[in-house]
Amino acid sequence: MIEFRNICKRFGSTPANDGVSFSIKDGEIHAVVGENGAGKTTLMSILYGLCRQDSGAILIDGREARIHSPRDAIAMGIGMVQQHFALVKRFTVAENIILGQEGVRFCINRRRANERIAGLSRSFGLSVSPEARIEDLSVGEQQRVELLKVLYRGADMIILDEPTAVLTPQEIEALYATMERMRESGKTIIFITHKLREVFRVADTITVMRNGRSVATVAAEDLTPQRLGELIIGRELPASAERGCEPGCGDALVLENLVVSGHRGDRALRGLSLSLRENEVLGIAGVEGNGQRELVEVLCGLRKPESGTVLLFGRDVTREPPWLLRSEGMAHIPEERRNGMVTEFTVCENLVLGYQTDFSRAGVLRLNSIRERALELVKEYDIRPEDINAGMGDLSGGNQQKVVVARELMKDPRILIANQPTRGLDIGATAFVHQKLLERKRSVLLISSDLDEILELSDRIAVIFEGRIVREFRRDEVTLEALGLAMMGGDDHAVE
Amino acid sequence: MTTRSNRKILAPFVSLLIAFIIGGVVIALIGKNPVEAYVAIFRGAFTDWGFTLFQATSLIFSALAVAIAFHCGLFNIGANGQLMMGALAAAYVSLRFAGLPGVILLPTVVFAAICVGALWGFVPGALKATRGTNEVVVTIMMNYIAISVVSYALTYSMKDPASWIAQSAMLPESLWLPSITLGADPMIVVAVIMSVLSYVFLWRTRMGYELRAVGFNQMASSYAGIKVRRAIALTMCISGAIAALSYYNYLFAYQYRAVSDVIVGTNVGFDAITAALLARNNPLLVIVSSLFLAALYSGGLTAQFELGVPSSFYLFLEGVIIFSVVMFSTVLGGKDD
Amino acid sequence: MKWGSFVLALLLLTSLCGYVDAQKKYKVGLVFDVGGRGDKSFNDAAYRGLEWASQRLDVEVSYAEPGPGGADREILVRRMASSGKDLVIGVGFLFTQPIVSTARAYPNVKFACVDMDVGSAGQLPSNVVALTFREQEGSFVVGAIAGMKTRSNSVGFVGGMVGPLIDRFEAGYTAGVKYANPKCRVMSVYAGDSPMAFQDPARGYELAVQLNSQGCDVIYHASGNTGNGVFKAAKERSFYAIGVDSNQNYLGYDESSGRNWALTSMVKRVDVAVYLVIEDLVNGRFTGGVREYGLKDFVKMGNETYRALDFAVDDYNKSNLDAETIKKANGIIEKIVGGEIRVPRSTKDL
Ligand SMILES: Nc1ncnc2c1ncn2[C@@H]1O[C@H](COP(=O)(O)OP(=O)(O)OP(=O)(O)O)[C@@H](O)[C@H]1O
Ligand SMILES: [Mg+2]
Repeated sequence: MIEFRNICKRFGSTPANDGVSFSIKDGEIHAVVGENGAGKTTLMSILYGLCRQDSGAILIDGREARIHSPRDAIAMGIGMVQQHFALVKRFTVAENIILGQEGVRFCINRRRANERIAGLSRSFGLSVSPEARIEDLSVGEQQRVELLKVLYRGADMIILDEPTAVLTPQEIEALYATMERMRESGKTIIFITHKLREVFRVADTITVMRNGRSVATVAAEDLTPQRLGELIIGRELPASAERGCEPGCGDALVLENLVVSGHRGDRALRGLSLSLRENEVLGIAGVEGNGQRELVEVLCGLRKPESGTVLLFGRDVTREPPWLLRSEGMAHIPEERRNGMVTEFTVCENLVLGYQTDFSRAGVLRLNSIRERALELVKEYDIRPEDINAGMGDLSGGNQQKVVVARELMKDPRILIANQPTRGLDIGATAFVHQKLLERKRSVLLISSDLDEILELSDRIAVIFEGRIVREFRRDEVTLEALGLAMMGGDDHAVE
Repeated sequence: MTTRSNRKILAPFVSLLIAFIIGGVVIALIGKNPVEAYVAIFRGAFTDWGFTLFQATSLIFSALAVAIAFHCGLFNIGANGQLMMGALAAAYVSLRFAGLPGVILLPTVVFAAICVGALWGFVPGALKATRGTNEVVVTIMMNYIAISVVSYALTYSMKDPASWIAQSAMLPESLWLPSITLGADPMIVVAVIMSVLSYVFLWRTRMGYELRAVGFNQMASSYAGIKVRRAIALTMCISGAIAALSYYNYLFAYQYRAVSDVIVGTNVGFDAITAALLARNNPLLVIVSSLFLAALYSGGLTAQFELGVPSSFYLFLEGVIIFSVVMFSTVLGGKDD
Repeated sequence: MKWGSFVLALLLLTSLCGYVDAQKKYKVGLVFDVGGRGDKSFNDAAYRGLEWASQRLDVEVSYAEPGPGGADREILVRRMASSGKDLVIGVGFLFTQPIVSTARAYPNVKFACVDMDVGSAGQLPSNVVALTFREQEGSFVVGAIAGMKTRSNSVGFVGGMVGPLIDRFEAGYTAGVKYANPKCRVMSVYAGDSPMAFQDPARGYELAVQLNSQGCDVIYHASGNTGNGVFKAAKERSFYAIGVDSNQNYLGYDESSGRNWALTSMVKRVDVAVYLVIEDLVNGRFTGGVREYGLKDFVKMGNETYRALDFAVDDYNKSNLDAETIKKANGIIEKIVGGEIRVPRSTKDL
């Protein structure tokens, strides 16, 4: 049993944890939920020894545990999979798993290590080849490697920080299965998430955090999603996003016959055609790895297509560089948050990234108007802490995402490429961003691994499969089954 | 908790202190009195503050070059070569157009130095931007090329026929700056202005902003539409242009001619890396760190002939400083527990 | 600031002490060239001269060496001058400019520059002496030894940079060879026409191999580091090499065979020059201008006589020089000193 007793931790003047007390029973799956910046990651970092609490204690099996470093945590059987994986890209899976292990001194018994890894993968359903290199693996597979690493070290308390945020629906299902198997074999799992459906799918117990405090620890069966949502944000849930008038009928973006090679050299897009109307939200659904990434890169000018055309409001912008597209009114929320921000910059500096030209006169930055605008955005998007001079790297994951979204919407772009726009956002912030996307002030190309999000927001849904759009649905005709079938490529009525 | 930021500020001082202690032990080991040696260094630096300022001037220019490049994520090891080429260009143009009146000659000479220095930075910058070539390797190569070009020019085409040393003729008197022995040399003022300008450039201009963004995160910068390649090439140009002024005072306030051995053998571009490191690449702090290193160097000369502390002591101390700065900035400033 | 005033007081005190114990004793400061002591060459020699002076002449000496590149040569010279030295010596021609400009600022201090580049110095201030050598005389002596020693009746010369400086070496050497062995051929080659020609051992090796394959069995070099290549070739191809400036006899030692292929070295004794100029100072005979040291100038320390120019005899080459040759060579030196032999200054005078 892990017990947190009145844990407090401040960073400068912000209290990140402000008296957290709850306990986690052995062998349960314990979900920790709460708003962005509520202090979830901080609490887990303390438990894993990445930072020290200012006051309060952690008790493990009734005894106070002094955890000064991850090493101590590992020795006590605690393992953690962080949001950003700590893997050596050039090494193989097996090498990564045994890297830095206790007991490994000079020579590594590879055969025995491989056998153990294989054994672990089998019993927990974590299929990866031990000889594969990390750089060739998908995000989901990398996460499995991280899990194996933790298991290999013999952890029986496992922390997962927003593990599902980066996964496809299929991978999420597989992860749940793994988590359940772990529970069966007696391991305790603590996981952080913003998706309430997940909580009810796997968790036994739920702890809600708000403003650095633990406000409730409840058994999952005693709660409804509605009630949980209210606990999280401390008031009633906002109504789901309103949809304004119908989209226009002019074309904002037309893609014709795009052929693009992917980052592994193979064909990623094989003659993709698509059109996005003015003020429309077009959802792109598809299993990851079917060309979504390359599609976005081409649209943002980061990858040159081999053939085909891209028309932006009737203008051919096929091979134009990113800055030109941006000046044509295109904005982009990147899939990976760190591609959309500079961690070492302040919040204020990040809020003008890409718009620095608009905020300067004769090459000199207009600091005052930058500050004014930053203050407005911080208010509007509820970015916490409310300090525009805070370092971006010190923000919680969700707040970083808010900064990126706020900035991309700041200049009222005519067209927005939104790739996983609500990744890491809490329910309140998600609802807020959804509302923004539906404002009908701009065309939105929405790429999301979250089918619920796509279904909720899109006017039309295009299904991408093997580098082509294989099916389009209107909002009123789509069913989950048809969509799922099309995503697997099993649809005969392909477009054209 | 303010400990973290306090520690960051403290780190250079602690590492300097440790470097001095290690230096003192070494002085004691070679049989000299460390206290006397440090007193001599101190006295030497301040009795001849003209030279301290002179040395600091060269260091400031080069250290700014290193620091600015660093903000764009580039390690400019080539300040030495850029400095040499700048000096050569200044000497050449001043001799070639010696007849022009000073008011016209001065800007021409400075412009020539800046352009050639910028070119010397542009080559590694452009290679990095277009081919991804490691700028460290290329700038080192450019240093060697600069050595060859300078010694070739001063040995053949620009050599003073009256001398058998590889050196140019006396530079035109219209450009001579008041000598350093009078105490101050106007270039120190220019250096300080340049530091302030660099600061403003990095934190107050659009280009500086873009350059720093590229330095921290190239991916995010290109997503944001910043012209990453242009920023890299441009940064190296600016870096080279500033480095090119490092030896201007040597030419026009000190030796009044370009001596091949001295230019080719200079170490300022490398000392500048230490200065930039100590200043954490902050252009304003570069003034302080350069003054500090210059004082150490200048004082070291006095300690040398007064006490017989070997001249290599300065280089040794510099090495220890780099080492301890790197060590202690990670230990003290890195993580908070 | 208590500490500040404390430090200040300390400084004042130390500088006062400096003045109190200064009796009337001549003070000499010497600035080495880049590299400093331990170069087995001019810097070491200059240091030896300084040591002789402090032993014999009761002067107080101090020395320093410039940092990399030597941009601080002038600063060191200046600091020496401003710290109350009576004589400041710079070792090497790169001190030409620093010494001339410092000398103008400190007319009461005397300055000496070893190997001064008189050509570029312009009008020498009266408190500056340029210490130069009549290298042609020493070259004449080693030339005579080469002429006596050759079997093939052809000897070679490898010069560094083409120009009047090395021309003196060539002229003296050629005249010396012809004096001892009129039938002997002298083949002269140069490594280049830039100061780089003094820094190119590979070129030296190439040239020496060429000369040797054309029959030269003794080669004299006056080419700085380039000469290291000449010695390398000599060891590989078993011919004699003659060193220059400092005693380079050790360079000819071939470990595998135990033989030494250095015939001798033409030594230019900077120690003698340094000592003599200090002696002039102490005796009140210091005069400005160009001072040329030749075979006639020497210092006696104990039983040893050190000539400003000489040919080197040591353990390395004593098997190569028999007593007869040494005697003849000394005879030639006597004749040059006595004016019986006139040594040409340039190949034009040959
Ligand atoms: N290193 C740090 N320096 C300063 N402040 C920090 C640091 N780490 C976290 N914080 C602050 O502590 C608070 C809690 O952050 P934490 O990362 O724990 O939130 P979270 O609950 O994980 O949020 P999210 O759901 O957005 O990931 C935030 O206000 C954040 O700005
Ligand atoms: Mg978090």
